[in-house]
Amino acid sequence: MSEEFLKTSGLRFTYRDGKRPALDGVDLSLSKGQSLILMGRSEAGKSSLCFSLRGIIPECYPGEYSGDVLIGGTSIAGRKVREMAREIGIVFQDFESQLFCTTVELEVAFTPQNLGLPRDEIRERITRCLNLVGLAGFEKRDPLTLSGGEKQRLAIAAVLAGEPKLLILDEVTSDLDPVGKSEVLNAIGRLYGDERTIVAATHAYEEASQADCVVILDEGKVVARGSVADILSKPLLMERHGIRPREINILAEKLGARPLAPDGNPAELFAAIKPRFNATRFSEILDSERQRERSCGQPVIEVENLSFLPEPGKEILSHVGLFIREGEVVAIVGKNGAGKTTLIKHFNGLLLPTSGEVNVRGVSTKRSSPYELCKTIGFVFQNPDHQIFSETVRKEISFGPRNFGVPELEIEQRVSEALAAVRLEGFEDEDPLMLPKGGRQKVAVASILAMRPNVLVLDEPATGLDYDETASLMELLAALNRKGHTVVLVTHTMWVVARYAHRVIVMNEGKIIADTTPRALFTNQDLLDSAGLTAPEIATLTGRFLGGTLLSAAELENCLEAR
Amino acid sequence: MREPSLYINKETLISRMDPRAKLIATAALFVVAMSFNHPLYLLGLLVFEASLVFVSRCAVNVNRVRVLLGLLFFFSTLMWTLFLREGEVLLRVGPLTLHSVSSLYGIAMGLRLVSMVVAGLIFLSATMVEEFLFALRKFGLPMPVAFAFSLAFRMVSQLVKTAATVKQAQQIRGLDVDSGGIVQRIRKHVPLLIPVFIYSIKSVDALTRALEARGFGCTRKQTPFIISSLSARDYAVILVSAAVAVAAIVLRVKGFGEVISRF
Repeated sequence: MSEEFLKTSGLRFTYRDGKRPALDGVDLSLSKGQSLILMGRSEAGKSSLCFSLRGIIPECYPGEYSGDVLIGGTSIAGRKVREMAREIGIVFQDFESQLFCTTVELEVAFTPQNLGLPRDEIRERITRCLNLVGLAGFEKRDPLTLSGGEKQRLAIAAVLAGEPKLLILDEVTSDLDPVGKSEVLNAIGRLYGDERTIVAATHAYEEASQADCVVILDEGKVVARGSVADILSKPLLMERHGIRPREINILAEKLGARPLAPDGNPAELFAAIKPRFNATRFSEILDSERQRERSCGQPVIEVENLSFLPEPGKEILSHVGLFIREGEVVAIVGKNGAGKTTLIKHFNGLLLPTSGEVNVRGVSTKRSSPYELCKTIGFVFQNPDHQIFSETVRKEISFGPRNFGVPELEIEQRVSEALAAVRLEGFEDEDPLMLPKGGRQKVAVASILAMRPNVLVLDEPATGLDYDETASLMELLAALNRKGHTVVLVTHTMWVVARYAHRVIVMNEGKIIADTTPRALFTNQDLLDSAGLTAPEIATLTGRFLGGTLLSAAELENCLEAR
Repeated sequence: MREPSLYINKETLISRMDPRAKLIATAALFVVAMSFNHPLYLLGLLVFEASLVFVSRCAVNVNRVRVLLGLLFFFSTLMWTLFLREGEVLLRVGPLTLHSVSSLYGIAMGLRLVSMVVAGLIFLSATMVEEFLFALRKFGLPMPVAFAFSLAFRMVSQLVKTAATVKQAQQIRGLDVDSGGIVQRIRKHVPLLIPVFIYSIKSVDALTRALEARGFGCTRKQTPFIISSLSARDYAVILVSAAVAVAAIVLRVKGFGEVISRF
């Protein structure tokens, strides 16, 4: 083992107004050139730890701090954040707020400029760092015109330009679409194995495979540490701490087989389990799907030949046609910029077609208004912070019904109903802004439910939520669907599509390129490629090794019999 | 997502100028616009600016704000025409009267606002924020002040975008800000202002963190990456601009280019 490079001892931090410590005695140690992945649910302490390693905690955040961080044997206590740009670099989750220059090269030049390096040296670093993240040739572009993946790669290049010995990546892929994610992961892949020591926080096990070791945090404490192979082959441990495990390993663990290592061959796992595929049960699943399909009601939203051009020559939607029937759960998927959000904003009249028609219960949205339509179509925006303004959860949820003149007594009843639906009973008098992101997202959903719309339209509801929070929100939507609500959601999260959607609409460049079932989508590689999507691993593996595509660990358990 | 800035990345006679010369020339256009209140003089200024728009190839930006320009011109002309009572009465419709001098002055004020916005647009279209920053620093503004100034430019478009999303999010919960009396309307803006305010604080917080983490202010000697020196042409532009500004003031003092003696 080479020399110890990074060490934390007894790191503790409680944010001012925090109810519990965000970090609660964290001891870590990492050798030079090693890479560490931090995993854990939202609010487990991943970002707080990243900020502490960079000195941002305690300098920029008031609170109670104790313990120490040593880099190369020297404590960083008392050093200014800005002074450490040469030794430690950090890339944040939100790629918008960390870019502030007019061109790509100026963005990369910013750190070395601040360090007072000579101009020739800055030029060299720009070329080297842009090459490293695959952005050579982008020098004169305006960062604001880049895609999400490109922006985040630029943010990484901009930090690398300080040539830090320790690079911290705080959930840098969380806000990206699948294409952007894989671009960024490829770029990060090229950074491993160098002299550089890397600490990266993430929700997704797929992002851990190249690292040396993994630490799981929960409630500010280190609850597990080990090699990547070691941790990733403990699916129950991962699930317990709010991390989505490899579904195939859940099965392996249940059947007593050795779980699959990150670089393991799935064929060996299937050979070890020697599964017997119960074709009867599989066809029962397919039958029940067909039955569900037949039992759907009349179309509630009908879109005919919809084109949308916000200005001449700029077509965002092109001849889109679709229908949403009562009682369906429909997912709309596709790359960023494919037109998904623009499409669903037509469902409640926030946008009106340039040509074509959108009918809600047979009435054209052109002859209605968002004010009228929101009684039928409840729309949940991607970011709950765009709507929350009240000092209590109760007031926030009663805002909608009150605007429509619902009597006070009924408002009370609706608030209780909505809170029960999102399982936030008892939170009536809490400040909604102090809740974690998952809680705020639920308040946003509840505030729409209180208006009792029949259809719920959600724009990327899983953004910024961890596995537990996403699963809990989706279970909630599934329950509402069973009670008769129609659900339409735009999402990038394929396991959500696999487990919960009845039907999936695939968009690309403003057009619908497929309207199909999740099972059919995940077996059509050409379609997946053209829409920039990746099937969940379980669907790919079962399709390959069992001859029937299964969408979840539950289905797999149902259809497999171990010998 | 933020909107791309107004800066147009094209090589033109104007974009190649030193940012200091551009800033002084823009200031001179402002002085000329403020000096006169005769519509013909201001029309002349606007025609000159139109030629600059052509040279700097920024018609696309002028086009982006054409509605704003139209509204500015229309309302400013209308207000001055209706509320200033100077000159002969030309027309009387009910309680409203149209005076000869007031209507000329009204048109001039409309043209003044438009010509000032266009001058600003030409400057922003041809100047990177970093060049602007360079010019401000050369004029002696301390780095943090100059930088805050240039950041403000970038934040505005983000703020407008956030406000638009918040308005939609509240609209679909039944908020109708366009009805009711004045007090009611102001109260109805609370659900719009709070999320925008909180969102702005969060983004400023994130921005500060990112700036600190990238070493902003860690040395006093930040290496300038964009450097520009004043060429003979730039000196000429500065001299001509200064001369034009002084001439405009002198002409006005001598009574040229005015319909009334107020500014």
